[in-house]
Amino acid sequence: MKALFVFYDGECGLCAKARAHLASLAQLVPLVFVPYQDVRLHTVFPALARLDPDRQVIAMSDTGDIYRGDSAWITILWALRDYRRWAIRLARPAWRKHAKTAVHYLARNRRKISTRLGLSVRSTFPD
Amino acid sequence: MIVTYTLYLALSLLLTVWVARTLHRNGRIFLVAAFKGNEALADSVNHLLVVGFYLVNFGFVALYLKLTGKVADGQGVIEAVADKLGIVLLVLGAMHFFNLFVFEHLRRNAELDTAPPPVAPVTTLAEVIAKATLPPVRGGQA
Repeated sequence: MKALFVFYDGECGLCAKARAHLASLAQLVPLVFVPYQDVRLHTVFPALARLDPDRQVIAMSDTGDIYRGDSAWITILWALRDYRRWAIRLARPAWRKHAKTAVHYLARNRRKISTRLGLSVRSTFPD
Repeated sequence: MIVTYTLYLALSLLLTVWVARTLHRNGRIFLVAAFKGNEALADSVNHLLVVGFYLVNFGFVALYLKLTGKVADGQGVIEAVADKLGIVLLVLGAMHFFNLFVFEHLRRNAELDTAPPPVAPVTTLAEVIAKATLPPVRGGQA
């Protein structure tokens, strides 16, 4: 894998915060973050809408493998130098179900959590 | 005294050579894996590691040579040599395990660098494109 594209919710403060943090970490596979609301993204990749990016984060490799929700998170962690070990651990069945629960909870409540934490949101892409 | 020292030196050196050769022979495969099949680099690092191993152990053996008490008889010789040799063996053992730890650490890190993603993709771009003519299905696994 040469690159991992991450289609995240750009209108969610928590997601923007997470993006900034992940982008600052050492990467074994370069991460390319694109808010799924970006109109330019929809002109080049209209099929993205079929993957329901508003429900779960979507990650796509340069070779076209698509990951969603917990598998996207695990693959993002795998791309990070210091978290690859964690990604492998989280992928084991015992951990995976908890990862899934946590990721789904966060995805469902991300807007609410962002508001609670007072994290600002943007609403136009590109700005 | 001379007998004790000679025995101590001979045995320590023999043991060091034996451990170093074992490391050299069996450590190579770990290093080849750690350096992703680059055998020339693995051999070079292996050789350098063994030289370091010799230096540290010979240095320790030399420094630890001096006896504090007098050695009176045959029993004393054996006791003094065993005493010294025991410590040398423990140091050699510790060094040996440390080297193993280094080899294994290098190998695991190398393995991690080339490890594939631990989860399978839920779909592929090709599949999404193939389904593009069908009406979109909402829902899926949320």
